[in-house]
Amino acid sequence: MIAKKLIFIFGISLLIVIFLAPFASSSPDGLEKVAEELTFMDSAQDNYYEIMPDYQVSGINNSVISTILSGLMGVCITIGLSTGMMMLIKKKSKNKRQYKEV
Amino acid sequence: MHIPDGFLDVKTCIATATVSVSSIGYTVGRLKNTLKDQDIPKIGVISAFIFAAQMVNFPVGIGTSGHLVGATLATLLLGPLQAIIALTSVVAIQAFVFQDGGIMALGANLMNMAIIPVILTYFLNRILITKRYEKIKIVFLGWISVVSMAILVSIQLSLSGTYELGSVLAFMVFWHMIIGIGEGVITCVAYNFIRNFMGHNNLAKEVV
Repeated sequence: MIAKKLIFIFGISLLIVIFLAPFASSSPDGLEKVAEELTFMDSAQDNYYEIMPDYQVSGINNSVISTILSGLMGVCITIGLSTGMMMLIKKKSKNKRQYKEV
Repeated sequence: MHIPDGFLDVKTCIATATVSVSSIGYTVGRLKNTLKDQDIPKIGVISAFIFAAQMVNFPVGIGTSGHLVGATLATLLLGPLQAIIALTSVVAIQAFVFQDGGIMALGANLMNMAIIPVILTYFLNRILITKRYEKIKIVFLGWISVVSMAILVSIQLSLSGTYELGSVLAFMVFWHMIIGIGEGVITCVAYNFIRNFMGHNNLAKEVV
């Protein structure tokens, strides 16, 4: 019952990525805007490596598809990592509680 | 709001990372006692939702945009402990996979987006007891979490010597007071939708 609802919300996340994210505003966000106005934006350093910088998949020229693809991957990685972390936490505690569970 | 590398100096990065690591460590320790099996899929889905929502920048004024951070939403839906983990996942993935936010600055970004606003929302939510004005309260919680993040970032920038506090604080707070309205409204709408959709019993009951 609740699983169906969770899947629905996950589905909404995917829809957000497909239909909203590619058309999001490309203006600088609050911090970037302030950094530009106060001219310390130049201090920003690029990262040592790049996988999907700026939410674009390298090698795909269409920016809409690129954004969607990177977003879908991000959503899946996020749910995977988050769930994985939680399962690890649960696993660590299970050993202590076995004698309590009836 | 994601701080790239180069804005903060080493000592600030280390200090904020210490705060973040110890907070997350504490959270994991507490979660070991309180986490139930049925909570796990919920946390994953909300994390994914927040990741998706953070991709949608909305225009604010001319030439600026804002986006949902989702700390308030996560805290209201999951309770503070699980929310910290959910947001940590999102912010970490954004930094490592999408280069959104620096690696050295990850400690600061986690502190600013995954920890402090969660704690702030949690305690303010407990203090401000109202049923009638609940929607306004949620908008306020979203707003104040964003403004508090802006203040934190400003302090970190100033401590790093990147800019002097007065100007950067004024600019950051100004923009984020506006962006905060967006966060508050989106949080309120999303929270009510998800809560009604999931059923009131199925959400976190302040298990800390």
